[in-house]
Amino acid sequence: MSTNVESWSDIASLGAIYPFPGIEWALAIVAVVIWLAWHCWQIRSENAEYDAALRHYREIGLDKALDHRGNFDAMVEKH
Amino acid sequence: MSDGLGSLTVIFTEFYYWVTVVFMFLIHVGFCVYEVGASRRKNIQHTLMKNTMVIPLVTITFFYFGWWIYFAFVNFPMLAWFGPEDTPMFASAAFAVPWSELMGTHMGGSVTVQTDSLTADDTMYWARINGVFWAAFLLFSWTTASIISGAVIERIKTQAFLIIAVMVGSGTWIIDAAWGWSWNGWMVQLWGFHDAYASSVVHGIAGGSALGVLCVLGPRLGKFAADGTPRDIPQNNPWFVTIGLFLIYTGFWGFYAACNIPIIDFTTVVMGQEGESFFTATNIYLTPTSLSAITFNFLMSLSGGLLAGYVLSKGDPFWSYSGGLAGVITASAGNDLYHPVEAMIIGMAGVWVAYKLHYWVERRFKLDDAVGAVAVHGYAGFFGTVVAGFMLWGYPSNIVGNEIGWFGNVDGVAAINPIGNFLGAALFFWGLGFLPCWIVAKILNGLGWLRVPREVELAGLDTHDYGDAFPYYAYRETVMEDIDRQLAKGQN
Repeated sequence: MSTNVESWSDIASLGAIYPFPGIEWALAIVAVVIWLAWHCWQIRSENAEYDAALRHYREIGLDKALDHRGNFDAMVEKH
Repeated sequence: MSDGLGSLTVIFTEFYYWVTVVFMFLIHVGFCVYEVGASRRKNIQHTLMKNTMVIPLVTITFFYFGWWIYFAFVNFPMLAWFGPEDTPMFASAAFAVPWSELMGTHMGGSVTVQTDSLTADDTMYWARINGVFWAAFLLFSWTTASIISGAVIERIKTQAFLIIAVMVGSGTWIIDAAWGWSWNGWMVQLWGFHDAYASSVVHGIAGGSALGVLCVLGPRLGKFAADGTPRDIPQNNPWFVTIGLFLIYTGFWGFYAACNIPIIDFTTVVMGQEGESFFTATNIYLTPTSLSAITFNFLMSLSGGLLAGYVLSKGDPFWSYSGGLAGVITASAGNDLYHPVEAMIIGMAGVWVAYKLHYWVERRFKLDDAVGAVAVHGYAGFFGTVVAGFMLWGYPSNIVGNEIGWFGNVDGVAAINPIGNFLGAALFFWGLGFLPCWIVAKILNGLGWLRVPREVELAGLDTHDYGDAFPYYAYRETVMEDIDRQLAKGQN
């Protein structure tokens, strides 16, 4: 079996040498879907992050929140 | 050098490799910036010098024996046993021994010490190309050694690291290159191994080497709490770390270009056919590709890696940038041939594998890899090589023409295949990477040469010697300093 090229001997006649030629349209669609899905994820994730920060700051008061600046340990998520 | 076209081709090739060396210097600037940024303030200068001294040591040892190994080991031992009759165990490399006059400034005329293995054309060619080709490979050697450097920061003795760096940079990686990253290496001819931009050949072996050292070296003091929970040790400058990675991306362009042969007459010179010339770039296996193709694939696999790293780490700068690098590393094995969107998807998959495995190994084995080097280079490189075996299944792997492939042949040569690529990746990661470094680390540990004393580690590797890296800036203590003090009292 071969995913495309089976010989290099007639190089002048070769065109596309990537695996699975013919699926270019499918690859383009997959790439666009990945792109748009990434934006959807990122928008949701960023907004959730700000919501969590707001809840915390409203709980402790903005004065104390300002004291967190430069403090590494403030609201750091551990793995 | 009397033929105009021939001379132009040779001198263009000479200039091409010279330019790639200049670009690849940025990889090492990046490594220094990255590791210094990842260290705590008390260890900055020690970390910097540990990594910097890779450069002269690997350079001189690569001149003494590394370059010769690349050419001499192509048959050793498998092709001598399983290849065509009369295949010598060690191939001739008269232009690469350190006492050869072709390892010095040479105009390509007659050599003073005659040798049967060098024709007049060989002498003319190597006189021009030897220095720049040696230098391109040397920069790969520095890279392979420096990859280990980040994983072992803040507790390894410089002496131990530099011994390991010489072994890996001028020894084990160049053996793997002779076998699986040359136009006629035994792994290419017998296994159909294909790893165009060194996913396993550089990154896999470096990751395996780092893992071998880490298993003996142990974690940094305070990295794991008493109950085994890993702590995030704050980097002294996370911004610097990401700029370092960005510089590594830039230098990586030089690496990719240096992995190619820039221009060669494929039909008459490579395939030995009569008739019209066909000039093209090739990969190291002398099979066709183009600079344009690898430019597409480098950028798309970098982008796939960045996107995946960002999602997995929720936008953490370190892991996003590391993801970009891991994306390129994963797709590298087949980036000479992939479609750009294939490269992007493969890059994304490799980052997922690397990220998940890094944290699993950390929790399960209490392994402290300070910068994720084993994951980004080792796991991603291994995975990418295996993927290439599937994606490029059935392509002719080389141009030698001995139909001796163990896992299938096509058009008179071994076909690229999943088994050959898997075996090659495993041999490089475990056999030439992990095992020698684990053994050497054990020996060094037994001699007391591996790890700095406990008190020195707690006080900081710079404290007794270099002093503070930022003498005009007040020292702000983080939670890790509290932990250091508890450890110093025998607590925690």
